Amino acid sequence: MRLLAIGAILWSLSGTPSLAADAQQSPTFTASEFDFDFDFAVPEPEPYDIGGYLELRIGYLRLDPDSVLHRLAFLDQGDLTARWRFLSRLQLEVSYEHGSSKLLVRTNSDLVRELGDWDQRTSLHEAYWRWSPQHTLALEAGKKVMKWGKGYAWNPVAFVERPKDPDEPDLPREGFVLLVSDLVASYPAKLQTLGLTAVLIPASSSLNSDFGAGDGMNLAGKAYFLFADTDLDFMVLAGPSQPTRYGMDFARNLSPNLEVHGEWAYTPDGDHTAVGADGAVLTTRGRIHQAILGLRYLTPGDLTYILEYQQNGDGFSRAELADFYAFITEAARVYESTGDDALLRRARQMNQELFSDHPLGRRYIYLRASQKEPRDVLYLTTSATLQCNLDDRSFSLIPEAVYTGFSNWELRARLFILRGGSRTEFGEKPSQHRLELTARRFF
Amino acid sequence: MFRPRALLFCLVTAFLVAAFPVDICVGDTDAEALLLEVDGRLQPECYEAYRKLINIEPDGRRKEFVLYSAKKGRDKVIALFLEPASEKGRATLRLGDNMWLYIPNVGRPLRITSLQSVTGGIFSNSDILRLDYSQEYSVVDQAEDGAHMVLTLQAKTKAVAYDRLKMWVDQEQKLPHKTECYAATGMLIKTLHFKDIKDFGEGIRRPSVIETDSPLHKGYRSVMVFGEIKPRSFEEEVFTLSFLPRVDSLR
Repeated sequence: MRLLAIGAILWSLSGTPSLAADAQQSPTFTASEFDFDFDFAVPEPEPYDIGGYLELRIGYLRLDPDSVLHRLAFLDQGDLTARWRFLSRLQLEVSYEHGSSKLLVRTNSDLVRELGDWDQRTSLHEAYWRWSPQHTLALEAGKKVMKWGKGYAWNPVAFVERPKDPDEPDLPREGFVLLVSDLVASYPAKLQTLGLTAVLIPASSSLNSDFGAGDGMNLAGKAYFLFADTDLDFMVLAGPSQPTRYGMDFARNLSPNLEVHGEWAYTPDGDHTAVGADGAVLTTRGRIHQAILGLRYLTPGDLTYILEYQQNGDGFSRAELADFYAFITEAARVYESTGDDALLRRARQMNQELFSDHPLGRRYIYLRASQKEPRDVLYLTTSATLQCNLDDRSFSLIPEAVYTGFSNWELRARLFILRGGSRTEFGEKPSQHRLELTARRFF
Repeated sequence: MFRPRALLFCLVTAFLVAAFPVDICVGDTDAEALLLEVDGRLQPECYEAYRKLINIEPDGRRKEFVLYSAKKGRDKVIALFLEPASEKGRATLRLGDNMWLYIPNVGRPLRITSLQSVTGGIFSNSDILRLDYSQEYSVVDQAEDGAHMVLTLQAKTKAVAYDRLKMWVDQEQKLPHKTECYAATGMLIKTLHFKDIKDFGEGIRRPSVIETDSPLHKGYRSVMVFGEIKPRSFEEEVFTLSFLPRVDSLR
């Protein structure tokens, strides 16, 4: 199955050159061949709007009972070697616009069936009011997702958002409760656009509790410049909940088919926390640099490459990851020999708090090759995505096919292949293969 | 081992390389005035429009997209997808050679390339966010072909999606009849057929249907239909990244 999927992706990725070659000899259409009625009614704007999608996803996971994280997750469930996962998701967006005001609410409801259990979660991703008395100014208050940065897989400068999953960068995420002001000005000069964004983020045990450790009001700011056809952003985050952080990003088209981008984030007084082989939490304070450098390149055959390199100064070194895995192994051994699950519970808690964010390691390469309409099949996109931890040489490879040919439907098939040695990031994941089939209906 | 200086050097170098692209310029010809007149008749300098894009497959199956678009000056265009529901809220902005795509689910504008197709099918981003021809091309040759003047247009910079155009202009109506788009290699990428001249009011009389075919997509056809086009002035700030999530408020 794995070889079949990879073969199909390679076949489709290599499809276009033959198309181009065929094209040189093929006749073109003449205008007389078209005979349709093309009248359409101009849609009238409505003050309210309801939209979203319903998604059904079936996943089959081939588990690796010998991996450390499998033992952490499923130790009390025996040698589980495979499992199915069913997900139904409803993403609902409702908005109402009146004059210069707009109210927007976006909810996400997941119903999951896994290992014989049902789990239902509904969360409010966004609910905010926007007031925009003129095109140069917008004020927003409420729960909102702020997305900063130019990177596709990672965004070190995303100071006021929850981390994204590089395997699914576009997955909807929950916002924070904020107050945002946005000012923008345009100029007929080298500096074409100037934008200023200020964000107030209150944090306490009852509001934005997961934004950071300390309670109080946090302030974030971003200055955007479109200067000499280059996007430039400078950002800062200060407040009691997180250490002060500074950042910048840029993006520019070098040609009609080549874009380059980068991000850099700097934390002068950042805490780096790791776990020793004995389970002790080790925190060191110092300067933390995080950066990405990337490009997007489109070939004449409509094959898009996205390549990103990440340097994550807050990531775990190979030795630190190995220490944590050693602690889990020891916790599992104690549980199996004595029945005492205290260490195991502690390991699970640490995994949740310290090791569930992306990215885990210090240096990564991300490469995505995406072929639009392979072999002349309209609305089909095939891709292969590689994410490699350069420190431990472990990686994930995801061949994927997406079809959008039926109006308002998106059909997706993905295979996750994870590889790596002992005590490596992807080598110790609970599953080594995962097949996912997804149908999404927009409304 | 982490080396912040080396990383900073890479970022600065990448930015400097990005900041100084190579441009090529082609001089004016006598036919530039005709091209300017064609531009003026096809679209006012500032306007808003409703368009429908239709992709037609070899078996006759169709997929349709409805767009609202706005243009200001010679190099600022914005387009918002209204239908179908799967594309709703998707907005694209073009400032000269720069293009961005905003997808509501992604939540932030991403730079895109002018050659990519946002919708699938034969229309590329640069077709959907088209600037005036005279903004992007210089006339390098002209020849008479019956009732048509055939203009050969050369891209002014490498950032333009098609390196060369061959445009058949109706000499009486001063409107294009057909345009062939070529890559720098000389390969024909697509042909645009302009049809069904319609009076949209306020002095705008132009083809309401643009049909496209491409030897790269044998059997597939794409059609762009103008439902409404009228002059309207916009503030400069409408054509900024911050405004992309709010384009619908213009309607």
